[in-house]
Amino acid sequence: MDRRTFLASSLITTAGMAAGLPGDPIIGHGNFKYRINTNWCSGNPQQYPVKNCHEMVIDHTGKIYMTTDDTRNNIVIFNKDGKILSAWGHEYPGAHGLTLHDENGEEFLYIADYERHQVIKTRLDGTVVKVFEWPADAGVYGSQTEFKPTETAIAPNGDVVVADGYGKNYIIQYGQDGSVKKVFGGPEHLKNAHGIALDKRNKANPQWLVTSRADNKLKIFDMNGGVTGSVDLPGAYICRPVVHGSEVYFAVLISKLPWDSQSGFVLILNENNRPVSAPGGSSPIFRADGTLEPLYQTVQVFKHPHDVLVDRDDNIYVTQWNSGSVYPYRLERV
Amino acid sequence: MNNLLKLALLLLPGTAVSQSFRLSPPQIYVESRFFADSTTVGFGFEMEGSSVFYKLDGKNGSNGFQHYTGPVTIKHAADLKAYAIHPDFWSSEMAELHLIKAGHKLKGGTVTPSPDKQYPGAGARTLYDLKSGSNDLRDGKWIAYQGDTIVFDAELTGKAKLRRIMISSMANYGSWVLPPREISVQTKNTRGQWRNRAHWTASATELADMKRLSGFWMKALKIAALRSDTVRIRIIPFGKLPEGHPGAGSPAWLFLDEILFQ
Repeated sequence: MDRRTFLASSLITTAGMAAGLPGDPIIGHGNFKYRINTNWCSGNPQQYPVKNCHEMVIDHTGKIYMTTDDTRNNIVIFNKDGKILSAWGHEYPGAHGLTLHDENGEEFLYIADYERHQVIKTRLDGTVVKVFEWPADAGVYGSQTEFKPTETAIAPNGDVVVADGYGKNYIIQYGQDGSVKKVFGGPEHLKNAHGIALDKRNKANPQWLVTSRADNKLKIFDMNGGVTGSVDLPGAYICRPVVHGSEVYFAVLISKLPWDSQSGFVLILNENNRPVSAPGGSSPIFRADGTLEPLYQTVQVFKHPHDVLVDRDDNIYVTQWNSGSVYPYRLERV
Repeated sequence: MNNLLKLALLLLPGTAVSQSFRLSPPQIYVESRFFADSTTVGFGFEMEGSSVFYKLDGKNGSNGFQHYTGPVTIKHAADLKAYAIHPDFWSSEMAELHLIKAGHKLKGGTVTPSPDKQYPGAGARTLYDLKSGSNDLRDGKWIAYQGDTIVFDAELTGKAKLRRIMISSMANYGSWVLPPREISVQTKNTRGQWRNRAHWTASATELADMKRLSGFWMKALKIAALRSDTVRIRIIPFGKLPEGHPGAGSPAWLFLDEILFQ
């Protein structure tokens, strides 16, 4: 049996016990440790109700935008102190993916709605600019309902690249005019292609990071859609990759089946896509052959984390799916 | 009493400390919930400053827990309980697992009809390979059916003396997965005739409770001590999902990973 099967629990520190029982609960590992703030948002749920909180982005002024599938206010806007500033949107029953992109000085939102089978581009005030319809001419879909987009990323040339995470696991690359230019990924490579991000850490060689969530893998594609790498993250049902600085952050929805197991946490990979911290989860431990021991939840901070947003101070904002309609939590870097 | 034990007693599940976050239950590492002669169990909780305490007798109460320091060899059926502690968090709830020692090894077995194509497992062998299924129903250690009555004919090694037969299944109402509603056991006599040996039908209360279950499900049928080399197990699934379920009217799934003969 390998180390995964037998782990001696030998990490007892008597110094901690000598200090008694107080403590300031800190989660995370190595240089990525955080204080937990579940009361970051001071919003009134009667005024700004939420159901599943899916994704967050931040604009150049520091306003934070969040998708929720509560059609009373699909987009909720916060300041960094957790005050809800405003909300809009009633027509996005499957409001899921949220991506912000600066286009010639104006920032736009891309809402991936798996119920509408569309991606909707809006201004920050909610004005619809463009609707990207299901890729009827892509050759891999027989009907609109097969297409259930969960995430959008914008290519260096401005193309709109959509992950069909709840549908057929293809990645669809649209021109800004809505025409389908390329299809890659698919069930051969991806299983629950839940999120996608443009990775520009190597400026000379940008790549697509795509989460294959049900596989517990991060898949890497080149700009032509060819697979160039795969990172095994056993126990981590990663939602979308969020590139921040030299790291990649993820909300981990669960660490074990079933899908409502309330076993999620947050995961951080370093510049080599190697796990370095799992706030709320077990310490990343590597076997002698370099593979990662399965990760699991250790502290019940989260139920089902669904997305992370990292601010300039490296604090992490965490949205949650199916977790009692809670507003986002903030993990404050220590 | 050393500091570690004091802390362990102080932080038994249910005791409060000033912080509001609870640890998750520790991991239990074992090859299978079923074993032949002996098996080895490990507990995991990779968190700096934490400790794990465990016991094997399954009894309630705070007595009998030992500090976990390394793998434990199990030679008899055991009810594992384990919890984790850390000075800055509430102690975890219990991780629990029932380990079952198989009695008689099977020479072979057949199952009809064949499992659903989505969950073929290793066919009939799945039911006597001593490999327990996990929460991942696609792990290859389960076979599954949707609506069929299942007949498993077991061929034992010699005329084994049987006292109990155990059927291991899964319950997860939200995922359309429910345990069986009826199980019968027959043995074949020297004239080739099948004789009824045991029968169980879920009561109305048991059927209602199945909707609230989530996790591994086990049913043991006691049989009068007898010797036989051929045993037939007939398993009738739950049937149609009831009103109020999103799949009402459709047959529930039945998952099986093992049938044990003791």
